[in-house]
Amino acid sequence: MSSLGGLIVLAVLTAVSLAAMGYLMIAMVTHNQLFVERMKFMEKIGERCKGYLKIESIVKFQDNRTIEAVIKNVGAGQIPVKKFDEIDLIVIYRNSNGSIRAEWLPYDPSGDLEKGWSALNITYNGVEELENPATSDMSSGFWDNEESLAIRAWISSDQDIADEFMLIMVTPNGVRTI
Amino acid sequence: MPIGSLMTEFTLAVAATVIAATLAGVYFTSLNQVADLQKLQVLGLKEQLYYRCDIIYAHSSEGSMTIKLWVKNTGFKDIPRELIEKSEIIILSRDKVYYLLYGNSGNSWSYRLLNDSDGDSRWDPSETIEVEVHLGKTLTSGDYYLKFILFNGVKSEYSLSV
Repeated sequence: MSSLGGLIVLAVLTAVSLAAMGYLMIAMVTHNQLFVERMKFMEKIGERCKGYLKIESIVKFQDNRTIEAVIKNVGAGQIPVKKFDEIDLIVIYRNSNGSIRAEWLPYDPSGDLEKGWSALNITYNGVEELENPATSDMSSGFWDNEESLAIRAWISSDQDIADEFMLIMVTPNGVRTI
Repeated sequence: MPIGSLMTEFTLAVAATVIAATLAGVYFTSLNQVADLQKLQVLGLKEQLYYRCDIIYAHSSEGSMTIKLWVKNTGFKDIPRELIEKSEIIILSRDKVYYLLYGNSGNSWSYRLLNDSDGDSRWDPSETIEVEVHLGKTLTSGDYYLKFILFNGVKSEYSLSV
């Protein structure tokens, strides 16, 4: 092959190699970005799945329609008091007719609704909380990890909790009582 | 240099160029396909993560023709009414399978938003819907396996005993 042909081939191969290397680098950067994005998603999923809520105590009042309970946040993350309306509270009970009922109760800090639940206080190991304390009117503050939330829940007046009962609470990010 | 030899060299150079270009083309196409696949995978992951739900609790009793489900939006995006209504419910029991679509007749399901604090009638993240499943016949005592399937195929499952 003459020097002309050799030069042409060499030039073409060099150009192709350079283009391939450049493309490879771009592809690697893109893959890296995709990988980072995927890791971020996995972190988000992880945040949603962590921790649980533990019912420390639960008591029924003599009116047979009011319950008070203390629920501990065990690693479920900070829950703003302002988001309490996104907490689900379901009470399951047996009424005087002997049938089992389940009711979802709305958050009702003023206690005006026929049925609902409200937050009474947040404590840490039985004493006043120091981390992000909630105001007495429950308008701000956080329910932090390891803190206990005292709640009062009531069902409608045409129903009664005659016998056994249980509570299910689910936080805004999907963490629930066990 | 004889003209014949020059032509041969020229032909060889052109052939080499064509082969190199073809190989490069195949290589680039493969790389493109890999990148596209990765992008598709992330898009799929995004959609599965953005739209998720969880059955918090289900309740019914023997002899009842309805089942109540409380389903929470545990995703990162709000779901408009039209897409909520595209969800499907499958109920499996020992002797029967129910496949239910949204509606108001028998063998269908309906819902209401429970804590729509912003009042936008959309199922926002952290909000819960109460789903009422209307069955064409009464429930007998036994175990039931419920599946709530969102429009994108993401499902939440729950075992219910009545």
